[in-house]
Amino acid sequence: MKSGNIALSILVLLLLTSMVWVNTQLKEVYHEIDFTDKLRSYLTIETDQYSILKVSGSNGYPIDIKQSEKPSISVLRSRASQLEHRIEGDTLIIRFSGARVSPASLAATTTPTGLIISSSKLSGVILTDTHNRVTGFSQPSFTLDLRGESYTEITDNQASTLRVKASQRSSFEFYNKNTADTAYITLKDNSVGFLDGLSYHRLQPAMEDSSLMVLSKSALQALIKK
Amino acid sequence: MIRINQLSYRYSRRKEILSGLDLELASGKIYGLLGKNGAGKSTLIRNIAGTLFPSQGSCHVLGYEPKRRQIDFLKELFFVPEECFLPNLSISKFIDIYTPYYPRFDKKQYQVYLREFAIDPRQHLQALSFGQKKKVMIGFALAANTRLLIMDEPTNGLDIPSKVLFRNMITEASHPDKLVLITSHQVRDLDELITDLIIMDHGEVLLHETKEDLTHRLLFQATDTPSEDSGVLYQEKQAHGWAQILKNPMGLSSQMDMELLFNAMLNSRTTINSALLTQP
Amino acid sequence: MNWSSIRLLITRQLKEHMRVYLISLALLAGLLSFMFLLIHNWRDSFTGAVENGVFLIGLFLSGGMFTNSMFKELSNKPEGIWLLNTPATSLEKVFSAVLLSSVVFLAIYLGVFFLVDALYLSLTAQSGNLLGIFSNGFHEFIFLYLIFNGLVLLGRASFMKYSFLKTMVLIIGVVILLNTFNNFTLEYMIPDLSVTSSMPFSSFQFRHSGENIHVLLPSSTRAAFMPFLWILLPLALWGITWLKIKEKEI
Repeated sequence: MKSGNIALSILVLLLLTSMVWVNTQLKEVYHEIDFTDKLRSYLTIETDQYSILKVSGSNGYPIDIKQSEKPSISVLRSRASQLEHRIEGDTLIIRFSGARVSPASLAATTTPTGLIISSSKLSGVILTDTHNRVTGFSQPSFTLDLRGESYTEITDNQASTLRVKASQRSSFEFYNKNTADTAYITLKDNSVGFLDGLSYHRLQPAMEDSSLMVLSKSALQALIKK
Repeated sequence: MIRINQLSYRYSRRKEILSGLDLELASGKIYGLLGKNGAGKSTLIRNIAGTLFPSQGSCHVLGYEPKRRQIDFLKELFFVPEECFLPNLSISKFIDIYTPYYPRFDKKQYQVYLREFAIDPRQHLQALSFGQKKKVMIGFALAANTRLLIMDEPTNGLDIPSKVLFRNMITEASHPDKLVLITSHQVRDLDELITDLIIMDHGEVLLHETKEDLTHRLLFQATDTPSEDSGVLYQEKQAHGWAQILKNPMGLSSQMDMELLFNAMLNSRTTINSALLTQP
Repeated sequence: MNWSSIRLLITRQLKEHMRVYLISLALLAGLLSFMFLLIHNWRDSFTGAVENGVFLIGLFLSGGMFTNSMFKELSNKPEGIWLLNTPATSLEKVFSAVLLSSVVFLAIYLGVFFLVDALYLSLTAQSGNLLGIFSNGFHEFIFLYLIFNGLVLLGRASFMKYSFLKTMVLIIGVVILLNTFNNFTLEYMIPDLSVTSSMPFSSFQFRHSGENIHVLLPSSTRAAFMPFLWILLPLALWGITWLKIKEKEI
């Protein structure tokens, strides 16, 4: 047998052996999965406390940001290799990379949530280039800063002072019941905000460039009266 | 220069092309390797050139094992295959690219060969006819001045004037350090060119002698009628009578008829060999 | 290994195929432009990383064909004898082919791709950026190209006729076999497991209570194992190509 063929046979054997070895490692990961857990498709990582959250990356997989007792990050197992995170001071910085989809198709997406960020005391969130769902926060002051064509669905949040800043073609929409004593809404660079699902005592809107703010009929009348 | 010991070559278990060949070829000579189609000539020279590897036995050329294709061996070898390949280049670019590989390449010598073959060096290689390509290749092979020059059927595709030119070029390029090995089934093309003759059939060497020894021991003659004389080793009918090979105990000189000898070796190998052995 | 010999071999390869290479370069730029035009016109139908898709189609298509032009001489006897008897070592011949078809090709391909990408962005006034080779682990495809390059070269050294087609068929066959073997070993090692899909050497997915669950190699293991796959595998394939060329008989 020629040495080229011998070397090729050794390489094939080596590949098959390493494949079996990799599978033994995968088997260990498989046995660590808790099948009774609702989030069994996710890998959960606990984090330290923080009050500012910065997320950037891509909008291919939606990111859920919600209030919870313990701060943690749960990432869809198939996307685990796309997650990078670190804490700097009081800020949790997350990069969740992946494919980018057209912002117009985000509202109707059926893609499963890629990342679930649970936080106990969050006062500010900076979201860049991502598709986000911010749910269930109850804070005296809450700021959302949306950049780079990010799209955010804001659901069931309460804050005395709510600040939403949208720039660089970002868009956001309030769903269900969101309340704020004072809502500061700032829109820039062709950004769009739907305020239908937000109840407030006082609205402080600020708009630049070709931005668009959509209000309910009653809210618009109230705003005009003032 | 070339030492071959018990060399066998098989394409498969059943198909043996060369079996147990022993050959020793010296420098300063021009060898003619003759054989019918399928006799094993090309297989033998490709074993010598290192493009085929012996199944058994050994082959050493200039102290190198050809199958290892060491760079110093390749620099001393030029092999012109029967269907020679020339790259998609102009002749001048071909020279620029390939001459650095051969340390003793003589560009002036090559220009002389091209002139003699009436080939314009500005021409593109792919625009040449088969015969012209062969001439470019033969000229390059000679100008490379390698110590071993192997040519497989070099005269195929050459017109008659070019065959004469080819013979002259080979003779002029011969050198005490150089070995030229030429195969052909067109026996007459090599008549006046070679110094040594090797005849092969069915993967075996039937004859390996110097031309001088052969003409010394054998007498070649033409007669009108066939002869029953025991001194006639072989005879065959030709267009204008009979050609014969006889024993030459008196050492008479005659013009060797290589084609006749070739046929004699194929048909009466034992008779010729025993005559060669019994004569001084 | 002698560098002047490698320089000669590279010059030889480029000069002998210069016309074909220049035409192919223009064809590549045209093909990439066409694909960009296509995704622009149908941008509402294409979502996701379409730029990455264009990059990969161009890379593997043109890279495969360019790599296949190395050792082209081995596809017929006279040319093969010419190549084998060219005074350079087999190692130099293989090294120059690898250098041309991986390093030089990649440099030229990246140049052409980004030129077309930049033109596309400026002509269509898109707000996006140029493709990020090093974002989202996309650079792993460059290593995959090196493995592909090693396989095509090995195919060239192994098959005399229709080497590219035979290599492609073989690659597809081996991938199917590896995947089947991988699923088989996983299901053998984990009883009651029903693998829905798997990526050998990396991950698998299975179905549990109507839900797809993905199992991925731990990042530390992945970091230790991937260099073996991405770097040693192309090196091994190039090494075997060298042995095949060294032992090539024509």
